[in-house]
Amino acid sequence: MIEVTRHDIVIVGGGAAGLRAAIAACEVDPAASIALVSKVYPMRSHTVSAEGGAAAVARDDDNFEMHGYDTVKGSDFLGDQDVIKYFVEQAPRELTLLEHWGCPWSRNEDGTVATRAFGGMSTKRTWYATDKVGFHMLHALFQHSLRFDNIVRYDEHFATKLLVDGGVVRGVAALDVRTGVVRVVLGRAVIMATGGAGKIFPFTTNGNIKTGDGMALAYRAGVALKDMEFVQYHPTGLPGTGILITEATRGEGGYVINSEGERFLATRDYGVGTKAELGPRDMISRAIIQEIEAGRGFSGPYGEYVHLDLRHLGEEKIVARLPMVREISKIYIGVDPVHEPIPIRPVVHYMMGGIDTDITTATSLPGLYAAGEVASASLNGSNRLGSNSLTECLVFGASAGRNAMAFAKGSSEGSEDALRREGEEEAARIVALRGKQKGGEKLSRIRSDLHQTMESGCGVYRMQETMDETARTVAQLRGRYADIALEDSSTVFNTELIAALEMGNMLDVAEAVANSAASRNESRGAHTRRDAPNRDDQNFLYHTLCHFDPAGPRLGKKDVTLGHWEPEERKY
Amino acid sequence: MSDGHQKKTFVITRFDPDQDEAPRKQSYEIPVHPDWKVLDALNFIKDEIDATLSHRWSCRMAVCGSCGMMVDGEPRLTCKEALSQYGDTVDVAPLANFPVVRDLVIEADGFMEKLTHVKPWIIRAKELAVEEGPMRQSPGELEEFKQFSMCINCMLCYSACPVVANEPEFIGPAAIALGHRYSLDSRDEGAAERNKVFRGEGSVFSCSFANECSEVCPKHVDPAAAVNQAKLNAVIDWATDLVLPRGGEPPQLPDHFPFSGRYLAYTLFDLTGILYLLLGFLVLCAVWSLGSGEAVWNDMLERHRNIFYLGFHAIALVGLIFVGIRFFGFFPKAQPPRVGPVKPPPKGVILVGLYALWIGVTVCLSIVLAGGVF
Repeated sequence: MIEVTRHDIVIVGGGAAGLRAAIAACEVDPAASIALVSKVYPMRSHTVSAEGGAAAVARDDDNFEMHGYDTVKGSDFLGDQDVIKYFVEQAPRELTLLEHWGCPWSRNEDGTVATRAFGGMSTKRTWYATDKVGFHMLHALFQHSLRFDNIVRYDEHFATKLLVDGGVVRGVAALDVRTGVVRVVLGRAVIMATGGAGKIFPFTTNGNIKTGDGMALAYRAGVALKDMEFVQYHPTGLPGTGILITEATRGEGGYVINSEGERFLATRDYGVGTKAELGPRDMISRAIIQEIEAGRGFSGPYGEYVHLDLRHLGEEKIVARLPMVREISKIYIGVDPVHEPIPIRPVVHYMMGGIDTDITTATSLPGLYAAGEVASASLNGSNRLGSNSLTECLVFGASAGRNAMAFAKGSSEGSEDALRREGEEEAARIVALRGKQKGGEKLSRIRSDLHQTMESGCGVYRMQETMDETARTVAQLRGRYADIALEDSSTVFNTELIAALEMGNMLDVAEAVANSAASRNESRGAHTRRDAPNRDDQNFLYHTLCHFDPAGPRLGKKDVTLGHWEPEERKY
Repeated sequence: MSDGHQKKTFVITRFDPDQDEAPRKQSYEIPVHPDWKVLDALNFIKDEIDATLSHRWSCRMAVCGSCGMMVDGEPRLTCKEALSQYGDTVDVAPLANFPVVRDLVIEADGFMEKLTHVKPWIIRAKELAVEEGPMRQSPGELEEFKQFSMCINCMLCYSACPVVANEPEFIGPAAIALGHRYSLDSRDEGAAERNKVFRGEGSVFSCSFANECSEVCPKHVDPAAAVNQAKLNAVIDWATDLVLPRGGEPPQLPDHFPFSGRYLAYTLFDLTGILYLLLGFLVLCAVWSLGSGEAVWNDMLERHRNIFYLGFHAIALVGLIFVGIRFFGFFPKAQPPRVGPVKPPPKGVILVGLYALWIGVTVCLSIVLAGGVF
């Protein structure tokens, strides 16, 4: 019934971080067998939707110190400074490799790689390929990975459990979506690279697949989730769908305008100073919400919004630099940005928090590594700067690939019988859930209730009362989830079963977000409280850890690594 | 999400290999919102009416390539197509020309194999070290391939292609466009390798230029242009292979060249060709002089009576002897083992015969040239 396969290492997730890890592992040992398990074909991974660019020092007027300082300041001093230093130093190397692998970076006239301005960055250091950077990076990585025969892909395999024997991770159980068979995919180290969890919110830039699977798997295996209260709202999403309009629109000179025709980021004090539209995302999202609350927004069928005005850039520049923004605006909101401003409002975009890793991408569970949005190596602290995350996937993906290979070399294979038994138990759980008829709850109801409570309690502005309420509601939803009824009992491509398993993962992640948020009684980065509007370094300069416990999450603390940049008031 | 003002009926092709012997149609009448895309309607049906409906989707912004289906008989990205452009009844079926896994889900493994087959990665004779930094590429060079790099692998073009329908082994529009994209990239040196692929099994020549692929491409990649450019490249590649050694590629020289004796001998052997070219030229000159009267002939002889001319002849003679010895060395090996009942003579006999023939011809020619016979 159960199928067991064995590899040197197992990577879960086929986006930028997972593919980069797989290639790095091949570079370490071209003969190693690398399993790449992904619930979709790798080129469908959500990296594909990233638009604006990837940051790395490239110009003569730039240096590592500047990129590091911008990042630590953007993080509201919650980023670990050793991690940030490592990141900025590795960044140019990784983007250069992507260049060698065929990524079609946009170019200057002299043939060098072009860079553009981005929010919170003090100079032009964002490499770009028009405004389809994630798409081009993902396809360049995926196509480059095809040359390695030793990467064994498990496409459309949904990993549901980490298999642990003797305190060490030895592989994963994964459901083959096409056949319904559960496979035990064994390796002497496992890398999580499954991305974020935006789908726990109703209004998000994230695709349907971003359900926090890797976070939940690690959480249930006893690894802490770190800094989960920090959820990034991107300032410019399309009302209704939540489709992302890239920050590059502002990097290229776009204006954010209220209903009175005022460029409020330049004219009013929102803390962004002369940066105006090029301020960091948390501040601009708050500014937009405040404008709307002050009655200076526009009203539409999908709620209130403000305008993003690109008309002064001219058609030529919009076509050359922002073709996707124009395409998306026309198709999804019926607006041509050459002639009209684009309606936008803040939208859930990125999880700063994730699986707690150290600077080497290792977790507290021996053999488990994590990279990309699923992880929190504490590069981004409480607010990520735009264009740092694509580079993060490469830098830490590569590091995870190398370090997992090194671990695998010195690790044993564990007891295959014990692992097979674990896999069989997992298969039994999945079979019991498939087409489970006994129960009174509907999956889509639980999803909409989860969305509602996450938005009311963990939005841009937060209050103790509503966060506590959300934490309680999520706990209740767990109970209701145990009572769901499903209709589809087919073994073949059962997307209802996948959605049900994803819902379990989303509830785990939502629990960590709500409880971590309720515990932080200050405002820092993306975590902004109306009832505690200031940062409080005295009491809260630490990382929040959230541990799984069947009785309810346990919270802990972890020190922030300082030492290079002294925390200061964050003003631009 | 729905305002209930308008209703549409969706006729969806269903197939569950666990239960169905053949695909069947199922109708759903649902209220629709004027802003909806086709995908929104499918998700509404899945969430509210029939949870067993299976389809793929993710980004809902026309870039992940998951949600391609036949809508009213045409391959479309369902997240991109406004519902308002369709009538009261909308027919939704899985992408044509692919095996169906279930309902609206098709099997993409064949495409993945074809994609790998065209080597969609940068090929270089010598890998660059990361320390060398990014390569230079002008905006013009980028423009050469940019359009073909826009393919999102949605596979609508395979559904539209009449050739794929009849010859499933045809590499197909998207894979050819992506292979060709790398061949056009100024950083790549693998065009020759890919041309072999394009000429091989499922070759580009299967394309009958229906142009359907470019008609349905949601990203305006124009794969038909790529396929037909690839055809031309494949033809040129075939022709150069026919005419030039190594398809016109320069010879691969090992690092220790020219210090190894084996390669030195090989190079000298090849270089002697220049001597025969020059000798041939001299003979032509001599024949022309001979036909132009005695004065010109004598003049020619006079001009050639110098040290360079003699030196050239000396080198040519050495070259000839060198090539002759090498050639004679190979000659016995080149004999067929037997022709009918006749076996070739032993190696020694052939060699002695060859040298005897050579000396004999040389002696005869010398006598003729010295004027001793006639």
